[in-house]
Amino acid sequence: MREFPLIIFTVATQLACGLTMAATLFEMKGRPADAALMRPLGLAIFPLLVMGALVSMFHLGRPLLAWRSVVNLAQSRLSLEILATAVFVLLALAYSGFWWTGRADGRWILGVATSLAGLAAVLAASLPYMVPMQPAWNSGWLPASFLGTALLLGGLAPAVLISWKGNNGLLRIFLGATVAGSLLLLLSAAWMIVNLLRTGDPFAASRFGGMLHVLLSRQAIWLGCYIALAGLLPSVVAIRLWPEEGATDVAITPAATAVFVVVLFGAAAGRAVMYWLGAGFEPF
Amino acid sequence: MAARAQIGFFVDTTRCINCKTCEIACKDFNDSEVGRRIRKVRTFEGGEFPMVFAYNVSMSCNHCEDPACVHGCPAGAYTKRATDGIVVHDPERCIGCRYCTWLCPYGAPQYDAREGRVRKCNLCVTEIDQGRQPVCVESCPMRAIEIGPLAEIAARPGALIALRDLPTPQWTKPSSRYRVRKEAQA
Repeated sequence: MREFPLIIFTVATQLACGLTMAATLFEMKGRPADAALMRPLGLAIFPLLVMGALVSMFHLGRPLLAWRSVVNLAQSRLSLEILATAVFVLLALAYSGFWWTGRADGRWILGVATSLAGLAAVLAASLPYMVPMQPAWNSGWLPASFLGTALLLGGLAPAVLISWKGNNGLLRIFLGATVAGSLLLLLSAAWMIVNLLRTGDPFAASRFGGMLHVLLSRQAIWLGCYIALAGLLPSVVAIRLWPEEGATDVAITPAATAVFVVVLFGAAAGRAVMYWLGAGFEPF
Repeated sequence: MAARAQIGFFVDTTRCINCKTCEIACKDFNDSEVGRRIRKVRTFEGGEFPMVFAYNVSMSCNHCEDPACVHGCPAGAYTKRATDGIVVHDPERCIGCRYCTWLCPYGAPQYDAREGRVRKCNLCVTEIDQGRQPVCVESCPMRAIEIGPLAEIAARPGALIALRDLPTPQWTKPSSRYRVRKEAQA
């Protein structure tokens, strides 16, 4: 699939955005003594973004000219996306740097700024796809799925990749974000399918018939992975991990780590379906 | 973005016999590899027996009045000439992101994996600038393809912008006009 680098780029950016929001929330609501628990995730934000950006270059036919992608800022939504992502990467560099050096003063303020830049980058990333010439993408389900992925992965990562010690209130917030993100993904998947049932625009309707058929036959396995692994599994995990009153320690386990990897795969499968819906079809 | 004197294609589909000479001339002029057709003759079929029909539409870039490729290209590889409205793609500036191939409703920009960049019809600007005709116009044995000022070709009897099987012209305002049989009318 030619869009494979873009799948990694968008999911990595959304994961980084979610981690930034989680780390910032951790600092604002958590106990200062627990900050060391969040450090690995705070450190991961910048390398994740760099990895995503580097992989995205493989999508280009001429990667050495990638710098030209911001030349048309005045008109191109794609240039705007690249700029928003670049701002996020720069702020993430500083934010991860704060975690690296252990500098805590002012870190939450930088966290809020980086989170806002991350959300802006995630939303800006959805804009290039929302054009009338791509009727399968040109709908609110697409930004909803981008935001849902950020919320899901940002909630799930600290919930399953950190050993919790008695901070149940914060764990519940992260598990709640996980459920909210997975529900948003389920909603966007349903919205995507309902969008394909539109018949008002003859051009769109002529393409949607074929898309819907293939989506529910050849692509059904990936759609199923998306719904099961990124839409349903996280909620089941959140219910299982929901801390009882008075519970203290929740230790990180290999199974919990495996759950994160599986959910990440589900999110990537959903993104693959999205790219196939638009880029996989001839204009007419 | 309106050009001073927009040039456009006039394609008389009632004359087209689907010989694809225009395609071959275009491929030859642009040195296109197998599989890439900057100009493409599409055949549309419809109706129900015994009232069936088929018609051919020869199409390349429509040099739209409101071109999505020019607006969308992040690298600024597309420009619309102010003098005649021809949408010119500069392959040297192209980064091969393929965003224009998603934006164009007519499939005009096509990715060339061999070169890692997109190519599209530049309306043979090198020929036009020397007072000659584009190679598709020159080669058509049926004289089904012409170019001319948009104001002139749009005023011809039967000239249509919207066809039955094509995307709506409202998105990009294509500068091509077609003469078609009744069955192909939108």
